[in-house]
Amino acid sequence: MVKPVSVFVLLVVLCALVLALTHSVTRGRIEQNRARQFVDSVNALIGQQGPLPTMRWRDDLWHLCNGKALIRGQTRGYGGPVRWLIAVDLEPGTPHLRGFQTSAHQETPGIADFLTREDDPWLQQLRGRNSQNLQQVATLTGATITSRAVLAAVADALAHPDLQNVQCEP
Amino acid sequence: MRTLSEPPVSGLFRDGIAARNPAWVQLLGLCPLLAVSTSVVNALALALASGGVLLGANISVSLLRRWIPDFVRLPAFVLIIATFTTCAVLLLEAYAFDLYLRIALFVQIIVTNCMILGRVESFASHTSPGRAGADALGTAGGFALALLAMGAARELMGRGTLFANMDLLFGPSAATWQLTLPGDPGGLLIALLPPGAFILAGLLLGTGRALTNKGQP
Repeated sequence: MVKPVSVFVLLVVLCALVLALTHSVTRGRIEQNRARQFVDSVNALIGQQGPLPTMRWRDDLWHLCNGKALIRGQTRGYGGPVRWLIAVDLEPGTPHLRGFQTSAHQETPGIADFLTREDDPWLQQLRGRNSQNLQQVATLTGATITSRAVLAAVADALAHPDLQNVQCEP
Repeated sequence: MRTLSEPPVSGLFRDGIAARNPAWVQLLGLCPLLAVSTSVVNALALALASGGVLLGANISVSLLRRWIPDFVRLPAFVLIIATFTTCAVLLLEAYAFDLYLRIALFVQIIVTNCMILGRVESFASHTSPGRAGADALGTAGGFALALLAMGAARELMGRGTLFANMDLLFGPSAATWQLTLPGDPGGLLIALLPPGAFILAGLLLGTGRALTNKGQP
């Protein structure tokens, strides 16, 4: 009984060493890749190119200081939390939605695919809505709970208490 | 390395590709086969990752076969396969990130691919590393053949292209490898969707079996 167990423990240690080695070799590149992907996705969300201002999240709010702000958060969907990143235009008029992006979700595949489709018509019609006319949007048939989670996310983001309180000094 | 040139070893390689083909003879690994084969580049990446994991697992288990107690062999095998799978995921994320974003889920579930545990348990744990390696190469080659056939057929029918986006795997110079059907006919969407995958997989299994069992009823 002792021998099989000790051999198995040795094997576990060996496997952990192999993993640690691979991790240390790949870590730098993986972090670079993830950072690049984040910049790309934020640029796609706000519809511009180039480097971003220094990242400064405060209560999940990041003022980009050009009339735009990013808000991140999560709302409850059908299969668990839907994590999102939302871009808001502060002007003209009241704050309104610029872009919505799902960063992680566990919704039903197929039914909730609209979450990650950039040109989805249901998501497209949310663009430009403020907290008032957002309420006129009907949920998506067949994906009621998921689309309700998206609407709640946008409402949450537009209701962020510090949204208008722009702080851009270093 | 003399053993590698002996007939039984090359036979092992051939058997893995044809007579014991994991996809159309043993019907193993069908989930990734159907899910990832929407284009040649996806299929090739999964074939390379599965093949690498199978080769690593087969050789390691063969090297360790005298020390692994029979009593805990299955947990030990799964542990070894999971280690290689995790390494494959990390390498993919580091060196082919855009491809990682597309097929990461199916690389992660290589660990549950019965094809690999099957070869490790029924073959590699009773034989020398050279023979285990040859067996892994043959089986991986057979799986790759099935994946690439599906990937090529679905990409050609679904998008009207072949070898598109190969730069995701081979760097920017491979971006020009793409072949487009003359006249740009566009695509038949069903080939890219799951129902089309099932229909094409049926045709592939039938063709593969017909070629493998030539002369038999």
